[in-house]
Amino acid sequence: MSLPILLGERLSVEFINYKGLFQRKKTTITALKNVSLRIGRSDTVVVVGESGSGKTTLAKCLAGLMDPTQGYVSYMGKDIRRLSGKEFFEYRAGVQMVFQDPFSSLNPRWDVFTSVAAPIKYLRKEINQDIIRKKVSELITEVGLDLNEIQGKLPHQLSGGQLQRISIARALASDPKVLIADEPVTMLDASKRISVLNLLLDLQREHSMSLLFVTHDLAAAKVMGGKIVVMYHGRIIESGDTLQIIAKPMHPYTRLLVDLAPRLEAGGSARNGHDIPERPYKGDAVKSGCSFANRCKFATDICYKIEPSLEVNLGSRLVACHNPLTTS
Amino acid sequence: MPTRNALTDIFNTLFSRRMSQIGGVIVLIFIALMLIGPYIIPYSPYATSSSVNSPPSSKHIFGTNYLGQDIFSQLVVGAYPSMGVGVEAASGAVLLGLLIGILGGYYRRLEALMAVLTNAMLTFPPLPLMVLLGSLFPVNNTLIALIMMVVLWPVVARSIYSQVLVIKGLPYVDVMKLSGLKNRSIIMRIIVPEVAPIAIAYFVLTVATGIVLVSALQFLGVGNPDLISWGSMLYWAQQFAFYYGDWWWILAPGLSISLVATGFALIGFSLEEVANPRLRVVNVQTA
Amino acid sequence: MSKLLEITNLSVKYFTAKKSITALNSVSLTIPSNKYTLGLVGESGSGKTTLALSIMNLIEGSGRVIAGRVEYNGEDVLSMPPKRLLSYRWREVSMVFQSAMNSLSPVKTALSHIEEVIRVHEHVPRPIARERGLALLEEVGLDREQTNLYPHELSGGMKQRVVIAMALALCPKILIADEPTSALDVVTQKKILLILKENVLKMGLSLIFITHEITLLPGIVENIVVMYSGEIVEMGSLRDVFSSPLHPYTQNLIKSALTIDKNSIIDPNYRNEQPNNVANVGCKYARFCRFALSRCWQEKPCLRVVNGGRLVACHLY
Repeated sequence: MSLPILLGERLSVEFINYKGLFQRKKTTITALKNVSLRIGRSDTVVVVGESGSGKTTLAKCLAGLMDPTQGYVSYMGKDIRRLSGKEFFEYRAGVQMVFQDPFSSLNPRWDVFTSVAAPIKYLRKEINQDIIRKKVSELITEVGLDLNEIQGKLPHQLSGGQLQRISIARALASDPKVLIADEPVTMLDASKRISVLNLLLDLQREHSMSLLFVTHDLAAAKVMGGKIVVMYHGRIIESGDTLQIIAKPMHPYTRLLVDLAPRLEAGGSARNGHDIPERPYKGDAVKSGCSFANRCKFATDICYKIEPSLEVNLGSRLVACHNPLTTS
Repeated sequence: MPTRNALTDIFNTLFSRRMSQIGGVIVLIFIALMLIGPYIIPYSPYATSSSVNSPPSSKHIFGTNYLGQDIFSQLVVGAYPSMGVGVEAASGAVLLGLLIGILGGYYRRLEALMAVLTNAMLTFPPLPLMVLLGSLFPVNNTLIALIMMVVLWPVVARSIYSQVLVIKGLPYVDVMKLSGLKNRSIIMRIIVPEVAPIAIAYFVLTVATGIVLVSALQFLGVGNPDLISWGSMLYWAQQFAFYYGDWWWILAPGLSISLVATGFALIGFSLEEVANPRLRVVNVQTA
Repeated sequence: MSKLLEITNLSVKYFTAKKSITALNSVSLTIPSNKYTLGLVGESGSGKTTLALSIMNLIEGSGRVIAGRVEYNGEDVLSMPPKRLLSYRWREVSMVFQSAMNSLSPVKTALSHIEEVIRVHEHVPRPIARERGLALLEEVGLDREQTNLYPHELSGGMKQRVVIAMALALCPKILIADEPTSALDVVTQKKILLILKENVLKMGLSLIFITHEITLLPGIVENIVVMYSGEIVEMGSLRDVFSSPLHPYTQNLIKSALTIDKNSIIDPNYRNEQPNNVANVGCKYARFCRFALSRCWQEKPCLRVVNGGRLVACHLY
């Protein structure tokens, strides 16, 4: 196995809310618990989970935008907390991110050229204006936009699809080794989504980039292929080959996601959602055992007592479940 | 829709709104009075005369007090010690509030400290605190300004802090970090310009509060009551005017304080209206 | 025999300081009777929400209806006097707005929201409104204890249920649901859709379901209307349209829908992002259309009947 470019080792993130006049009382929310992830050269990793699963928190930790409360992130073998100034710039240039909302991802006061040029200026430390301009033009064309249309425009003058492509261009400007895309097409019109997904796949191929794709949509996950990591309540509950897992999910939650994923048959989704209890609202009420137990059809006694750990099952698959589904 | 130039935005709004027009006129009149007044007053404010306790007349526009001093002249000369100190105090309070609010909002580690400081300060009632501090030290106007700064910064800090949190939560701040901008750059180039409108609004509102508070202090006798200011005029008026029935002696400074404070407040409210919608990022997804 | 809802040649424009935007361009639509379920599908800018607001006579501010009629049981909705509007809205036609769950009053409990709706429109004593409210909330799946919670204590799914209950409180004839499940996760989404479906069936009302996700419609509505850039481009039964979409835009929508039963998706034009809408005389979709003829650029196609029961606005037919 080759050396991973980006590695998250047993990451945990807790948010602590202080209350009271002198900040004594606190409530704790666990966003991530013990999550490990490795991304190698040209890998495609899809992180799937619903809102609250911790997928965005994971992405932000890997991008260095958030500090984990436990565990660490390493880039090219080095802990990112221990990087020297110059090495940190290398890391920043090497790991870039695209966010979900195209309308608030770009500085509203800068024209889009400037936004795309920023990584070249600040991370690659390029000062020659002509070189910068040339590179920005190339990038904008590469993401499928018309230079004349975009010239001198401010974000509020462009559409969601255009803005998202600009964000991608900006992320590519520093020649990153890893591109993290957090729900990049969720806020785009349905007909624009496929274009952008295809764009990402092609860019990945052309630049030999690794891609970490975060989404709640299993259909999009299927398009991206590669390896999949399914998250629930801050933990990884299943991981392995994307197509295999979608075809034969082993964790009951993964099975649920697959069943409820959008289909186009006139009859609608395969399974009636009635018999599944919704997530209990008062979030962190899970004291012990598997966090999915209170919604799981197959839960047994042990599921309420001991939290299942991620274990190898069926070759290269990892599942965290006491009663994984075997067939059908 | 965000515009490129916040300043033109502000000016356009100020000139077009009725509220700020009125406020602006009032404030300008008083500022003119403060600047030019001293050169055109008919009498020296300290000069006593024989026409004591005389109501407003053609000789004395606002009448005279029990020593025969011209109220109008006193009003004009007292303008700076009343308004100027208010402005100084407000400047200091807003700058301090900005600093603490931005640092507390942007740097996670400082947040707890900032919260404790701010909350602690907010629990103290301002006027008694100021009187207390004022009685401890021999007080001049500058010190009054400093005392007021200490009392007024928490409100500003808290508001700025919450604005900073909102801005920090926007993806493009993260994107700027990813693009290689250092924290200091982000603060100076993104946060400060976004926070500036509300800071300016707060400045103006704090001037209004400041003027009233300064006058209150001077009225209570903190500092040197012999130095003429609107507050000190009221200090003396309170002791003698009722006895002699010199209502003009109370009305002139009292009305001035109220009017000026109102004027600044009106401008401040208009500015607040401008500032608030601009800071909300609107997600333009039409249906 | 007048139709339940009839919209004829409706045009709506929004006016800003600098320019005007045509949100709806001569749109005609009919809900023939009760129990008629319709899915209104379109992307941003298609005018679907504007259409819904027009039905409720809620176009205000910078928007103006510049032509056309909206008739409910033969009655002109757009010129209803205020008193009649009060009894029309919510009692005859009600709506679940987009992100309505964020507009719940933070100082009222779930139950008091419903109570208030009932009492504002009908003069019933408090206890009766309460009973009805409780029954309604139970219908949409809220437990007794949950009815006394405040919005900040409720999850997204629960809040949306409250909103739906509010819309159903006065037994309207038509329910308009505008993106009722956006921002909800998959399980909750499914449940909300089923709640809508069940209550629609139970109460025998007509449903207009507005969404940009075409994959939500199967199983919920029987008929579909596809909108593009302020106009209706195709209309028909869901089954027919899905099995053989006629309008190129509809075909594109279906082809590019991300569903799990597709294996791979190839889009030869993926590289190029189409620029913003530029006004042209002919068909609005011409510039993106694979089949565009020269006629398409010059002449606007009208909505006409094809294959009995299907309506398409396209020169190909």
